[in-house]
Amino acid sequence: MEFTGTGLVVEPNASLMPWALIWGFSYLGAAILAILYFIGVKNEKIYGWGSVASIALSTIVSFMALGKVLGGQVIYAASSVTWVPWINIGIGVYLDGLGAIMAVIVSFLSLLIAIYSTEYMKGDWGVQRYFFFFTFFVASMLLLVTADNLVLMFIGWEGTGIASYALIGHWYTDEEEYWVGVPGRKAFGTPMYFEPSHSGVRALMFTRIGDVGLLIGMAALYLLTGTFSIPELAADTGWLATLASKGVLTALLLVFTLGALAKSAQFPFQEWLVTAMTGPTPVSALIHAATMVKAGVYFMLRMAPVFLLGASLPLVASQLQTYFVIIAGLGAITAFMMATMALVSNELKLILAYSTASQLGYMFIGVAAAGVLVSQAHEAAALGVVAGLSHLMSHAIFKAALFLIAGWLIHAAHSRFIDYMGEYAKYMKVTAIAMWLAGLSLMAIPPLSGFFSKELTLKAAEEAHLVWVYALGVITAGLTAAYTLRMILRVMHLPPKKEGHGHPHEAPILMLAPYTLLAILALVIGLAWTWVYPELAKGISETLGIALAVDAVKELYQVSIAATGTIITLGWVAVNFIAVAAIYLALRVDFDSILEKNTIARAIHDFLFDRWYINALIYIVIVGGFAGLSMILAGIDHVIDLAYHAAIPAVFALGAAGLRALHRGKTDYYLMLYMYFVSIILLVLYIIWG
Amino acid sequence: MNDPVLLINYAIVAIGLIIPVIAVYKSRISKLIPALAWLSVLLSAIGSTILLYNTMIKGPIQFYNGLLVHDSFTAFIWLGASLTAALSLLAAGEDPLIWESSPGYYSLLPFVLFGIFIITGANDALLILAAWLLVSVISYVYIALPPEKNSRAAAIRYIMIGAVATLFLAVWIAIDTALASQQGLGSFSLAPLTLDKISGLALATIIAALGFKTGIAPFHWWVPSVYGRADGRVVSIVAGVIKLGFIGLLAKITYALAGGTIVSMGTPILQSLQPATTLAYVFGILAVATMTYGNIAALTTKDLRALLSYSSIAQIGYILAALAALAYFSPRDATLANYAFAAIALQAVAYGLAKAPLFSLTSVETSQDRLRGLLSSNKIAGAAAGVLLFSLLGMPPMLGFWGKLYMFIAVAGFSILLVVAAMINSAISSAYYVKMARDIVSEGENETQVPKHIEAAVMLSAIIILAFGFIAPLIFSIPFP
Repeated sequence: MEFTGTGLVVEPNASLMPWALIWGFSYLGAAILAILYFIGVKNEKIYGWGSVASIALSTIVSFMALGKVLGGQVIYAASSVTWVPWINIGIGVYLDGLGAIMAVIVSFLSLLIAIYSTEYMKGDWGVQRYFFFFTFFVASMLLLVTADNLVLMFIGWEGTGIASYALIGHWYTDEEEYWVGVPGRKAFGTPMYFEPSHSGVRALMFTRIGDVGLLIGMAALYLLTGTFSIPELAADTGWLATLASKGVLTALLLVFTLGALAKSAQFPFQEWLVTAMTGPTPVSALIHAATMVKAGVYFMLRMAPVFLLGASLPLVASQLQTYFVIIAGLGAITAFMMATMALVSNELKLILAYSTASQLGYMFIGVAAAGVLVSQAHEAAALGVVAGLSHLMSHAIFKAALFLIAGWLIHAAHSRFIDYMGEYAKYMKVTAIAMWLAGLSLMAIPPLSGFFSKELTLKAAEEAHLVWVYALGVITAGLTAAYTLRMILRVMHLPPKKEGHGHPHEAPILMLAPYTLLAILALVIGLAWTWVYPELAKGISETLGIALAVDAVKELYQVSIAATGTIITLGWVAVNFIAVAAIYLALRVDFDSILEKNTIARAIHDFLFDRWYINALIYIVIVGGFAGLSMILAGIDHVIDLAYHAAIPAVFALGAAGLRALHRGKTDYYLMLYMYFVSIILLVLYIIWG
Repeated sequence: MNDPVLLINYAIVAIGLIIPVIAVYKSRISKLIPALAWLSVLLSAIGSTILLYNTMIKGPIQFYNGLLVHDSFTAFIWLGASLTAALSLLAAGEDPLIWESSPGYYSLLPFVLFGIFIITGANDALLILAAWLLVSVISYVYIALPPEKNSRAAAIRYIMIGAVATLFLAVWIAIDTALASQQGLGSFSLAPLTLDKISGLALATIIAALGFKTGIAPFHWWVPSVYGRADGRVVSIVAGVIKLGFIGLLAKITYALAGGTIVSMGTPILQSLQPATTLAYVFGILAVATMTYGNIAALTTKDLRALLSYSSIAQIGYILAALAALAYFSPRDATLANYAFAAIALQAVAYGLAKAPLFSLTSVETSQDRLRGLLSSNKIAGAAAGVLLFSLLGMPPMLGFWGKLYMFIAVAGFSILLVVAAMINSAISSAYYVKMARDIVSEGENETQVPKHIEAAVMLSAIIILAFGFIAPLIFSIPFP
């Protein structure tokens, strides 16, 4: 079956306004907040509601764009002036099915989280700075998902990185209450607790490595194609054949994708996301659940159709296949690894962080599955892209809800550890219902949206015959159910393990409303999925140029509860669900005493709790290695400095004395020396000249 | 003779000569001395802007019967040096007036700017030597100017090694003259390398000479010692303004050695492309060594001045990577050679504009963590310093980003290994730039108090870097040579 999509638009068909206002309003809002900050305005309400207003305006324009795109029109808006004429970089907005949906997800979720933040950040000493970076982040993220060319996208990409760094380190005074990890805990001598300022640096460092890869990939693509334009790259995919003929396609695409892997915290870049939890919880909801970590997936979704369209040559297809298998593998490893860590974590936000990286792995599996069998089965390719996007959407909603709920629970418990939380369902019924709805969606229980989207990713892996990726995906689905249920039970229903100082009660309306709305959305989307989604998916793939014939699509994008794969997955999820329920509710297993008595259990627990020792390994081998080398170089410099101070003066003093001894005041002696050295120089030059 | 650019340069030289005369009467008119220095910087900025505009419209422009040839690359470097000089002057404020040697500080700046105009445009080996001596001697004097022991000690080291470097330059000039005659070019023309063994010696000597001036490994050892010890206010001129001139010269010589000049003149008399390839590989190896050394050495140092010194070495490494691409493509592909020129120009100017105020900032206190708590004590200086650091890191849309983008485009066409090395180094450098940024937002026990004139310089630099980030891409739409 061939792609039938003709939706690609290569020439601009709209003016820049109003579509650039999608990011323009938020950038304007950020600029105004910055000016207010520098002129000394302190009123926090102005910052909070200023941020909300600018993001609301961006949201309105985003919805307008989505309306048009769903009506069948791809919006390609470009300015009449080219910004960088020499390398043909303009300022443009490209809104196809992917861009428009991403703009709506980003702006709408940001709006809800901004409203939540006005209450959550009330009275915070850095609230002005917070709202500036928050708004700047949203603007950059919107620029990233709507840019028509790679350079503009990269500007948004880096903007989100800077804002993320600033927001993770928001409480840079580094008080213990803002840390991540158990204070004092070490693995192989490496501290496993992190202060906000340290975490910010880690986030920027980890993602920066990938960003430079992305920059290099962009430069290489430009050299090959002479364009940075995304639609032009999709329209003419001859460059893939050029790279494939030189045997470097897989390698270059991997370098190009480093940025996406790092941004989306995929193995081996996952560590930054875990410790990014030092930021205020709305930041975790916005950046580390709903939006920025999705930038990597978005990038894959944006580029995958381009790769797929160019895969007609066998040489290209085989190298693309290798590339996509590697990406799928990394996604599967990340999904599984992070889920195992979530099983034993005792910090609420950390559980959600592990879960986020794990779920991002599913999205990568979906997109990568698209490429694996592209030369044989276009339906698998189209399914993979749609599956990745579906899980991105549904995860953004239910995970944002869970993080926002966590923000309130941590506030209520005065602790980030779940040991100090318990039986909160008694005090906050609406929050408990919201947590269950969002949690069930994360567990992929029908009819919530998470079930459909996760099943689609697994279906894509199955269609692509990625057996072990599929197997890891199914196993991880069970683990997801286990850690999510454990989290909900311990926080909402079981008594707290430790006595805390919390005062649980229902959240104020400005915090309660956003997460309740999101949790309900997870349910509503799930209920409407069967009827709405296949049509929506078809529309999206049409604008991406990878649509299939109508009849094929309807079946392809459906998730049948009676399918063998689905039954296996749901059965495994049920086993995990029942096991956890039995362990915590019926058997009341005392894990603390087991860990105390059983060394094997403790070793397994420590391995998982200390994140498979990967963090320690990175610090010992990479950070330690570079630091050691740096100190050696500093030592060399010190020696040279000493030489300047002592050795060289001493040599010169000796030399001077020696030379003075040569000066005997006789002209013939000077003449002899002069001739002697001239002869030497002539001899050397003669030898060199040859 | 009536060219406005030349007239402006004569006026700049005249100002340099007048200042010491006025200094005799300084008790009454001392404020006039900095004002005149400012006038020379302003004239230089105007002159370079006129030159940039004219070269963009008309292509390369000759002065003095072709002894001096400027194009949009050299004009942009001169403009960057002028703006960097303005930042250094602003950051110094009136502090140098209390130095015994204050007339020197102000009167030498016009000569520096004039020297950069000559050295970047010189199309003749003897003229290069003359300009080299002018600018070099001034740089030694600058380092020695502040009335304190460390600066004097640094100056002595700088002079000692500088003298050897000048000797190497003289040897290169001698060989170049021979090569030029051999190839039927003018006596002191810049001749391309040939397959003869003597070309190897020419290459070794010019790299030794310019390697010293620009801080290329393994000729860089003096950098931490001089930049790290001398007064930040004079280091900002040497490391920011003067270095731009030498980078411009290095690019111009590279282009000529690789045969670009001859090829662009439409007389393809190159014996072979091999010398250009060898030159590219030599630069490539030096680039990796330089950027790796600079970045790794900067990783663990806590002293801000030393850190800035090491990062200066690393920045030259990136510029060298673009120079390697320039050498490779000069006789082969004019478009890619132009991307390399753009990379060098943007990277160098972004470096100068950021480093000049940052080095000045180091003169504020003697504490090691000088940037700690800068944001809380001074919002403007803190935010602006952050912009400078992120520009050095290559974050868009600041000027440094465009330098990196063009660098990667040019280098990707030449060597994938060099690209990978630059990628790894760029990632390593984030560690210390981000750490510095963290210091800025951290709360310090002793909060840094930044004088108004330095705050203004840091802020102005950030504005220029941001503005250039938006405007510079538009400027670079015309090929250079």
